[in-house]
Amino acid sequence: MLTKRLVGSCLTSALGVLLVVLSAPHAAADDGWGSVQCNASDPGCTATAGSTETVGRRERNGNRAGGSSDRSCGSGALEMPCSLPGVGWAGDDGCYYQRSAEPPPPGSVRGSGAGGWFYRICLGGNEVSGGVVWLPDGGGPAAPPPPVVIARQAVDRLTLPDPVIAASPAPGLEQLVSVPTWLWLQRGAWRDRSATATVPGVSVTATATPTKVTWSMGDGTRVVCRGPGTPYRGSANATAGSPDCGHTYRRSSAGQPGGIFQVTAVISWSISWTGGGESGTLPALETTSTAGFRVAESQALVNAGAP
Amino acid sequence: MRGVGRARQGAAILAAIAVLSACSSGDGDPATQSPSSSTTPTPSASSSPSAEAEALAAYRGMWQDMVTAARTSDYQSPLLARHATGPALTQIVQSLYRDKKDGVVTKGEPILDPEVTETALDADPPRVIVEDCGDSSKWLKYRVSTGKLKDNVPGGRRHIAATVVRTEGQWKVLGIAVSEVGTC
Repeated sequence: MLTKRLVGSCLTSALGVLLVVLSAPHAAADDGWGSVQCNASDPGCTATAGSTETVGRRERNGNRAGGSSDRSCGSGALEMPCSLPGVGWAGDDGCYYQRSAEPPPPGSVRGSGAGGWFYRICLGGNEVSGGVVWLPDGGGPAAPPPPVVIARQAVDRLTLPDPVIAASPAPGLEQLVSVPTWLWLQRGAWRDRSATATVPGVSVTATATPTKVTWSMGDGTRVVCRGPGTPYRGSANATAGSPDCGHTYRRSSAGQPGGIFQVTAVISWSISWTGGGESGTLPALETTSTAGFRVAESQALVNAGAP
Repeated sequence: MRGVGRARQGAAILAAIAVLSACSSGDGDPATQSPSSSTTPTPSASSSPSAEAEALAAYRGMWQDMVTAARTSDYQSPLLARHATGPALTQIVQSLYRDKKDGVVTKGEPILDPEVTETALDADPPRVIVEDCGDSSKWLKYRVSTGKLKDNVPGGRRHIAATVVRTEGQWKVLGIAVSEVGTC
């Protein structure tokens, strides 16, 4: 029986003593925390030191205050944070694991083949239970989280820009009915963004690639552009449409709230990741901006534009 | 309730007998008795402020207990299990045991500045994550034989994250991850 209650002091103290007797000397800095410091190569430690990677939590300075815990491991009744500081990674059995320098309790059975001792912590029934267990390398519930889990952490660290809407005529000026409006985004937003998350032995990079812009023009029209659009140059024929991203209003915005069409541009980002000997994709992300377009009738131009 | 816990605990301990000198002093000392046996708060969203306060108190209490025990590297101190359990308690006991064996004690106190960065009071058991930037500049190790600093490696600021859970009506630190000096 490997599982023992951890609530009391005696068992853990005893294990601690055992550990010291049997384990290799420990390199330590020489403040009070020197020997408590966790080894950065220990998944349990990284789960903690990397807690800035933990998804859906407030960062220390509150940058992400209010973030919801939208990432978890397991499913259903077993849903749980993918890692807990100093406790370890979520295994697929609903318990947490971290590699332990601790030797097993007397009588524990060491498995055959390569493997290691893990500290196993199970939470439930308002209790904490656990113990030290032997698990084979690369398998069992305590295997390092699959790369896709780390990839989600990397995705969480992506900083994606909101689109900056540009148009000709400029959004602050009047658009004219029947005159092509050129639509584009400032070029700075249109490039790949990457972020990396690491656990011991596994580093995963997630890359966001802008794939399309969906423009909702406010008049019920939706325009999908496969790129950021072409900026209007003064020399172009004012009545010629954008080669790749534009819209021609057929009615004025006079009857709209505020007398404007609310125009929304949404960049879709495809997400790919690679690392840990695997690669894959994750659901697309979007960034959004809105601008008000005032569209006026212009009889002369309507006539000129419709020879 | 507590008695049942103790009985089970005792049964578990029998498996590890030979090394249990740490136990006898602990079980015999009233200081290890949980003060919470009469009142067991129930988890509820409305308990949030006090839950956070209690979790922070457990976190601070754990280090304060370690500070006290570390003055003599008393790894058997019954104080240690008051606010820590599981891997956190094990790490602290190990650390003090090493120091005892090496003839080293730790004097002074760290400066703590913990805050709650995540709460999951509906979780089972209720859980709070605490993060800290602890300063150990004035909490350093000394050789018992000479009374002098163990060496000239200074302390500094370390990022610390802790998982605090409520079991048997009491908040205890379950896991601690102390990062290197200079990490905050």
